[in-house]
Amino acid sequence: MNYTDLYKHIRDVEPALVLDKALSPEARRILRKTFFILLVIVLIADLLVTQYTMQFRGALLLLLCGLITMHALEAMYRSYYFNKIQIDIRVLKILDTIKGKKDMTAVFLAHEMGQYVMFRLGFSPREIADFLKSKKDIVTVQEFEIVENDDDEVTFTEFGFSLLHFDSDLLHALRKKGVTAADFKQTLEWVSRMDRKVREQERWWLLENLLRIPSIGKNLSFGQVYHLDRYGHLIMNDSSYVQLGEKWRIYGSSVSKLESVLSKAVGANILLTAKESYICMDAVASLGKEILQGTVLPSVENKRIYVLDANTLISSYEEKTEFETTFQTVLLQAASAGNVILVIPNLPDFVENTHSLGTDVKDLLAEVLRSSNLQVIATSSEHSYHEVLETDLDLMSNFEKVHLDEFDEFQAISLLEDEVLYAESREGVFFTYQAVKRIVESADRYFSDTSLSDKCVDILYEVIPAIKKRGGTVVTQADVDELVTSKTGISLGKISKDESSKLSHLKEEMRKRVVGQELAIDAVCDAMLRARAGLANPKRPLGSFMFIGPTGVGKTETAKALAALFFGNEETMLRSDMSEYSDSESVGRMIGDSNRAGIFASKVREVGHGVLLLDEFEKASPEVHDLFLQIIDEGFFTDGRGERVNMRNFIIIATSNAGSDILYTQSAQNPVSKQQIIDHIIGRHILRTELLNRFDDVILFDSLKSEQLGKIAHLMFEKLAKRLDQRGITLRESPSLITYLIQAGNNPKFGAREMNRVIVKELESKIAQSLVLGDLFEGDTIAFTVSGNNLEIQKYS
Amino acid sequence: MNLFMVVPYYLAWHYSRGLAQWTRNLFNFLSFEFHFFSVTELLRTLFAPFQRLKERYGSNPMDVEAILSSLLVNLIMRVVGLVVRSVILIIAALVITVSFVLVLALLLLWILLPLVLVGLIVLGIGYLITFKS
Repeated sequence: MNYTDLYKHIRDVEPALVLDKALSPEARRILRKTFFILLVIVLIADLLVTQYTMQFRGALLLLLCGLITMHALEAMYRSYYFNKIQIDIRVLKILDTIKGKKDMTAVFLAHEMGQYVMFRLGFSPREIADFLKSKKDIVTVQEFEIVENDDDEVTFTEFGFSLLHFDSDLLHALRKKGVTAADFKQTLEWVSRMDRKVREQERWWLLENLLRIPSIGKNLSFGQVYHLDRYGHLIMNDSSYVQLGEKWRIYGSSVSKLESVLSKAVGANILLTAKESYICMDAVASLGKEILQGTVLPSVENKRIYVLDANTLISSYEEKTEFETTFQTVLLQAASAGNVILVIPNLPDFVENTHSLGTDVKDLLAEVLRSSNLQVIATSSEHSYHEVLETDLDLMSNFEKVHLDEFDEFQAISLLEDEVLYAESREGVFFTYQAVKRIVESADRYFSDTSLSDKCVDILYEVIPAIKKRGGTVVTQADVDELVTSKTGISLGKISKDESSKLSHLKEEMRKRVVGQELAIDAVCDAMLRARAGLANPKRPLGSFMFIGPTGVGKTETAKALAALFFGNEETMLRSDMSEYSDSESVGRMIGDSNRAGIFASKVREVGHGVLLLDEFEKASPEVHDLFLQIIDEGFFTDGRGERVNMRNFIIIATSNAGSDILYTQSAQNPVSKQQIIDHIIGRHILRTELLNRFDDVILFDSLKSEQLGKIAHLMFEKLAKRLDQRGITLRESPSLITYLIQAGNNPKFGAREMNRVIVKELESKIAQSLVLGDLFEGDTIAFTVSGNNLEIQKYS
Repeated sequence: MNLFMVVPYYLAWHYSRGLAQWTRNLFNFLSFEFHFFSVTELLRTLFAPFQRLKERYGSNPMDVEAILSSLLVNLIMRVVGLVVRSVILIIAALVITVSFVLVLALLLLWILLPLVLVGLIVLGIGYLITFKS
């Protein structure tokens, strides 16, 4: 559809356009308000002042005429605005102002909505003006046409997006702001939707809006549920409903599914399953919301949704018969009330918990489920469903299973766009589209262990105080990055000068701490740079490495150094000895079950981000290896309670000394390659190929040579000297001591660990002895002298 | 372009689409009132027991006293239901009748609105002129 085709439709809305030209919407709004205020003032004056009665009445009549006229004109405008026509009236308004102007983009950006789109994309009025001045590419009416349109209707979004197709300058300007064509389209859609929504909300007189007001008298036809009031609560009082906010819109299709099942005459019971159990309750709460608004099918109208407090019910009774009698009364009362939908949250748990009373709740439910008087919605996580319910065919025959999907990033953005408007009107801030998008990306990437939508809303409201504190009003992508960094410790967004210098020196800093493992350091640092630059896969951990090599060559030290340099704190390193997880029940201990939390899952949740060091990885059971196969692949795992544990903020380092025996046999003429070690590990079935392939890199740590041992001796000596310095004792270095340490600490099988042992056993023990005996005091300066195989402390005065 | 150019467009709209929409909106209010007072629902269940409260009849058909007692309770519940529903229905009938008259008046007002506006101007100026003279 080209410009001429579009222009023809102007006559469809001509009265509205003529009115707009005569009086702008803003002028009309001001006039309406002015007439109203003056009318009230004159009316009050007429009542209070006894003189000038005729004068007041004359003014009153004229003001009333003005007010009615303005409202009547507005009614005409709305009538055309909401009239279902082929071309969006906002597009026609833009086209109507195009006469005599060359560039369609300039006309679009002069229009209030075009400008608003650009503001949302982070452009200031000055930047828009500068862009228009410097613009060379002109979109003429002759060349313009609507692109990517498969029907006869043209929306505001399609019009704006088509401009981008013809205007390379606009595309370039957007790219400079980090905005893609898809982002531009999404923003057009957002601005367009919000404009329409605001106008629609003003039309309270529409039947669909009026019907949302709850009716009186209907409850007279339905019974009371005294027992359910005690052992349950209405969905409106459920936390899921309270926190629902605007989320109910997203669950529209799920609610429709529920409605259609509930409309069945008999057996209208639903088993709601989802990957995460909260999604089920969100969908039920959304149904509750729609019932309250009266926007449901007639068969579901006037229903009351009660949520059973299963735990209260079970804990109130110790005797099986007491529990059974009460539960049956609850069900009978609910059934005879005639309009109750009973929600049993987490049915598998309810079934299992009632077993402790020696009763089978499934038998009690069976009769009610078959009747048409009561409708039941039971919820379950997908995980528990497979474990507890799936095999119970009798019970399942009474339910229709409805599976709900967690919503994706695109849906989350559109949900957040609605929430942003509320936040903006309450808090007096303005969110750019990039900030909204980054909130969703961050929620998915860094906080994926809880509901995406809830986390998005949390971040949205957490970022506002920070902006207001520094007196700002516009929330940008950088502000969101800053907040996420402060919460996770992971640097995000544009790389600052300080950070850039830190990253560029990462290898050097690592080399100061780890001796002789150049290849390993290079590989790890390169992967970290990729992660920081945002090039790594966001759905996987920040990095995953398999370190292979003998004991004491720097594998653990590399991990520690990485935690300290990349996350700024060695404490963020989570260390797990995998030899503790070598039996068949290890996975259960790691991830827990429905009754207890897993050790590993709890630790990961507690730390949140950092370096995960898996020592002696090859000793873990095959089931544990499978668990890590998933973790490295997807960046999360599901714990025993069916809840997701996020691993995407971790660098995973697995170490193994498998194949070290081959390394001991190598010589300068006959070195052992990495591939030989890997073949050895796979050939001996120590680790599976697919698992090794999942790691970003498998890194071979070489045995230490004597020159490297010398450097390590220095480093270890410095560490000891530093510790002593904190006690007020100065330790001097002597060449003979370093030579002694190299000789005594040179053990190919234990690497530098042997040297550490010598330092602890010989140096530290001797100093400790002297301190205890009172030979050494704060302020002393000492050195070690070597005579034969003996070390002696020498004191300097 | 001044506001007078809008007048012909407005008048055309006022007596075509405007009139249709005004009528529809007014009748929306009447529909809403039917919904608000649940008129259909109350008529359908006019003789049903109040809040579905009812006494079960015993299993012994020879226990006449128990049967009569249950019958009495159930009858009372139906009477209470009938009274409460009737009260709401009477209020609804009154409100809807008044509303209907109002709707007709507002419909008439719409048809006469251009004349009313002219009348307001004439009268208003008339009052002001009277004051001056």
